[in-house]
Amino acid sequence: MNESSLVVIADATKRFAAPEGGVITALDAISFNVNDKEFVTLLGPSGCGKTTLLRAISGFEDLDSGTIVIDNQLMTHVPPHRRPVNTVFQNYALFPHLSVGDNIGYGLDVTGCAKPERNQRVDEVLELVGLVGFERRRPKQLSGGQQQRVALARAIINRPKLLLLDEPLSALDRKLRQAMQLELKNIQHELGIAFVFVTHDQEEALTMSDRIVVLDRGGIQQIGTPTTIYDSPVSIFVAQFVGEGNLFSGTFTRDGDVGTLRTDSGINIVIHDLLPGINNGDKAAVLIRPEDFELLDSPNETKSGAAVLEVRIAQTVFVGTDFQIVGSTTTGETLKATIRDPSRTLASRLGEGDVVRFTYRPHAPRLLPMSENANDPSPDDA
Amino acid sequence: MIPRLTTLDRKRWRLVGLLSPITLFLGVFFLAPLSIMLVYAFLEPGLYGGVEWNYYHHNFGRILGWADGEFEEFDLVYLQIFARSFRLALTTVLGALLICFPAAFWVSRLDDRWKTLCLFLITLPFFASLVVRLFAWVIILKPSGFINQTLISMGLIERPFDMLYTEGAVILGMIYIFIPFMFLPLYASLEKLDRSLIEASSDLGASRLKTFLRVTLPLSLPGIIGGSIIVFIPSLGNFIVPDLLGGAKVLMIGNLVEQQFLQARNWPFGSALAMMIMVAVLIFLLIYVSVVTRSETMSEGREF
Repeated sequence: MNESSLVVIADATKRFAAPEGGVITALDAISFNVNDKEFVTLLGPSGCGKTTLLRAISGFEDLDSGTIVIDNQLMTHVPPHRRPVNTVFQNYALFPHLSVGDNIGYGLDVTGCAKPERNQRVDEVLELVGLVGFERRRPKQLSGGQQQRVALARAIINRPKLLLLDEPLSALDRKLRQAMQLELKNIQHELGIAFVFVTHDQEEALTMSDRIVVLDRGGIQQIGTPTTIYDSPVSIFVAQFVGEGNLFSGTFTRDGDVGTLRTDSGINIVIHDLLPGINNGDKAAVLIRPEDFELLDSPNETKSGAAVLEVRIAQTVFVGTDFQIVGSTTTGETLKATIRDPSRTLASRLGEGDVVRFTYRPHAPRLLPMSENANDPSPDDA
Repeated sequence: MIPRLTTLDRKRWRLVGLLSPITLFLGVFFLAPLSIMLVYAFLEPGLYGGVEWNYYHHNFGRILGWADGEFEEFDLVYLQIFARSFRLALTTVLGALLICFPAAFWVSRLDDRWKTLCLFLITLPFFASLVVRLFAWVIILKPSGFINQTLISMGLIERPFDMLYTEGAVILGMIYIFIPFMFLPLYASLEKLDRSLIEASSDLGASRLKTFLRVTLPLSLPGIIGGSIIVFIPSLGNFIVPDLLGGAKVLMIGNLVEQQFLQARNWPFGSALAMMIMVAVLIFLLIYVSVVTRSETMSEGREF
């Protein structure tokens, strides 16, 4: 157990009875820590257990087994209102009968804070979230983004050691969501408290987190920094869920310090970063991110250490800074590539149905074990 | 030549078509008798029933305790009956509220399937006649009734309790018949209550009691007020329950009105009593409306 860890979750397990009979394992022996002032994101598809885990930390869900320790205190028998955590709820859960000011002051009012201090702290928090002047309005009179700020202000006024956020940005439009991502990050720095943030949006997770916990089917798939998760996913699930990727499955052969994955369609991809668990003759998969591809201009050009893929173009889309190309290899795999072309002439040069030659950065291919729950290696846009 | 109807005309005729049945019905069977009663209340009672067409304010004087100047002495008996009726009606409201609130809260948290079943069970008593159900209470409460027999046979008491024909029996009976009327509005407002608000309150450090007082109660206030009104008004004028369970000892205004019309054949005095009930109820309603509109403006908030 790490002494400096604010939250220590050990073997957290929770099962629900499924409505159609049987048992759903919402949390399957989950263990991880949250350090002081750390921004940890629980990332996963819906039904992966991330909300159950959050509710277990806040005390609204009892664990079947395992422990949660917050600030060196075992939380098993501590009711929600005595836990040193506060929550920003997904639908904000603002009290409709109270003004913005009374919503924000609620946590102080119920704990018997003296009026002058209470008012001063409400003013401070209003200023922090940029809602000065709105304190006498009702929640209904605010926009979604403003309501979100009230929910945040209300949750931080008690100065919790840990703030839990349950998909707080999911109801906002894209522009506002991006602005709030940065603002949340700033507020977290300013307050110096730890955040545990739940989302199914991998972009949000990558943008905001110090560490990401990727969850699937109640279990932890991977824990790591955003760059680790993105660059070195440990499973096909993580590779597909975080970022976009091209997956090729095939048979692995090892040759000294390097290996080769011969895809089922017959392409040889050289692997520089080997995995200890994958040996000669094993089935494995390889991930190449769209931005790792390069377009070869001349028909005979090759790149040492990287295969050449002949691709028939299905679609070329300009997405702002880059061109996104979707096509299929001559051997049948779908391929997504992101090509930067400052001259902006790519789309006019490449027509639908054209065959072009792609290669990739030699160190880009990432070897992944074939996992039992990855019988569908096609890229998922989730 | 057929005159052409404009859209406005057509809308108007549709309105007339939709509203005329209820207007006619209520106009004939509610407003007309009410007007007759309003007039009668200010007429002199005839010696053998019927009315003398003279202006006569002593009907109200009699209720308020002033003698009519001829043979009655100053007597507060009618005001006392009014006071008792108010007391019993308010006790009924309070009792029904205390019984129904926890139940409505619990039912509102059930699965949809169980909710439907519980709502059906709540309305089940309506399937039997009110009088039959009240006679069942007579059988339960009377000196040789179920409760006394049981207690005596267990050796707990020697002589039967007087339970029937007491205020307690009347309150019990009224709570019993008005439970569904209190339950349904309460349930409707509690069902709408967002569970995450209760969790938010708890998350922010409020104990269960504080959460109840600061979130659950204020947000279910419309249901509490609605249920109270719906129970209070018929309780105040009720005459069946006090008649069957209160006997001659626990008279309420409703019984008084009934007696004046059906037994004493003093229609003017009966009408005056009925008007007084209506005034009392109207005052109560005015308070209700002002409270509700205030809480409504509260929930909509104000711009500053």
